[in-house]
Amino acid sequence: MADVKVLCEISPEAQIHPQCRIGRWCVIGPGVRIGEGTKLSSRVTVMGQTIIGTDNVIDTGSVLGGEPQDLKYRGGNTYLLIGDRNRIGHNVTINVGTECGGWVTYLGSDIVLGDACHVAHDCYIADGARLGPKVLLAGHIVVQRGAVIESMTGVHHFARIGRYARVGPRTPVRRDIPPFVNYYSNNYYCDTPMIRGLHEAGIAAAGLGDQDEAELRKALSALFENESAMKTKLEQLQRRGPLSPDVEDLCRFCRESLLGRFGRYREQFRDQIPPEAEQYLPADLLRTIRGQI
Amino acid sequence: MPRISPHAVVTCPENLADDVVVGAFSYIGPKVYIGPGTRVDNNVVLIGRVSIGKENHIYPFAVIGSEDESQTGQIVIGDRNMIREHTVVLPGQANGSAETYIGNDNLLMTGCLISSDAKISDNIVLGNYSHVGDRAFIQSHVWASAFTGISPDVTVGRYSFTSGYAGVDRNAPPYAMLLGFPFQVRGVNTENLKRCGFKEKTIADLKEAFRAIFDGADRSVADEALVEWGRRSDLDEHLRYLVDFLAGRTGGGCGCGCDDRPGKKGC
Repeated sequence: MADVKVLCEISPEAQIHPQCRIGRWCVIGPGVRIGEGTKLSSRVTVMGQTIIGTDNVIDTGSVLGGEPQDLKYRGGNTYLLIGDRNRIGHNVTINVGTECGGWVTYLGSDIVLGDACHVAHDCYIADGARLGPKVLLAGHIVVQRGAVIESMTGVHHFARIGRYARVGPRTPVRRDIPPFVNYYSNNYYCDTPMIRGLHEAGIAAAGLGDQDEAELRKALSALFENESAMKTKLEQLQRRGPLSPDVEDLCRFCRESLLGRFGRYREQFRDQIPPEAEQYLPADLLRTIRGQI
Repeated sequence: MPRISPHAVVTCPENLADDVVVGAFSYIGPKVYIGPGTRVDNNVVLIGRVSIGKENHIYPFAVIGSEDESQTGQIVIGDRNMIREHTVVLPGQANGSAETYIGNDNLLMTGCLISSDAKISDNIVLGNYSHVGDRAFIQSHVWASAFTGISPDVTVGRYSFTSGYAGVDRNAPPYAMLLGFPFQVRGVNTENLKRCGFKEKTIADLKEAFRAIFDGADRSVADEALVEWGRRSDLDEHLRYLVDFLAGRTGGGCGCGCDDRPGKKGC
């Protein structure tokens, strides 16, 4: 029997593992599944078709699985998937997906969401990402593995944050941020945010060696230090010879960003299931979603 | 009978229409009136003099009203609004118009703050963590992106759009794209106008007017151009409104609650 405090309103249809801890004044809806060892602090609301994995900690006042703030949402049974060992701060809101955006909002494992974060519909956050307080992710965003987004940053719809990249505090993100870069503004009242070198802590977190770091540094200076067209710079970099896997990944990311509108690769997947669905979602859920479409 | 969770506290259930739904752990005070079809989720606090219309949806942790005895004004909310999680609406104050007003068909996203005596017209979207200052007036069909800060006593003209982190520290013109802090006018909000069914010709005329009028330093209003456009007799309804707004001939922005809502008087 799950350790449930007396004053809770839990739907009898909710599937809660016996080893869960549910704090006071929590409200849990009928379509919710919560895995082993997950702890809900007091006043947590979990609604919609929300599937939460094991050993997560969810702090006071969070609302998971709420309806999307998208005027195109028509009330479908869309999903929110949360992996294992995530730490979700106070007053965090995470919405379910929308019918036209791929049906699922996905959080991987080992993610930290700061207080009052908002993760909107159809976002995919990969393992190990860290979001500071009051980070707002608008809809359809991908945050790749190990990325760091600092406090009060707002990310535009359909943008991607590359793996192990860092976005500074209070930075408006309007286009894709490549992997392993630092992106911030020195003075956010009059200075446009831009890519400013390598995110060294990200390099360490990814476990890259000195050689990989040096090659990434060279590639970044080739791609972002002058104003010529990105396509030309990518071709020049490719012509220099064989690239390391991380530089290859960086080039692929930049090339993909050129395919979308306004530097946002995912813009081209409007009204369809995004490519990340195959990568992250379990096969049976993917089949269900395809059946509903 | 309204459907009230056994864990909710509703002081006067007779003030609620028949099909109102109230979620668990919500508190609804004695002077709160709620119209039919409105849904109040869990952990919502409605307190003070609050009147809510029909078919609204108030999401968890929204706080509408205040326990503060000094805030004696009321809150009036129209129909079909969505008030999202952690949004706070403060009541009017005795030294203002004593009424905070939210019209119809609005979407107030997560964490918005609507301060005392603010007025929000119809069909407005306020992005996450937007802040509407005391006595501010937002005209209809405005879209404000996340983290927009609207200062006290300003008017945001109708059909405008503010970018993320925008600061509206003075009256913002109608039909405009407003970017930055403090905001600059960056052209006509064409996408919103198209969605709202404006004719191509009206949009083209507005663009021409914007190019001529917002020609001063930092794209401020060029007074001569404004006077010249004001003299023209061939302006349609929207262009006339734009020119009148910029010349200060429409209501709003003075903090006394004069606005274009039906039944309300200008100052």
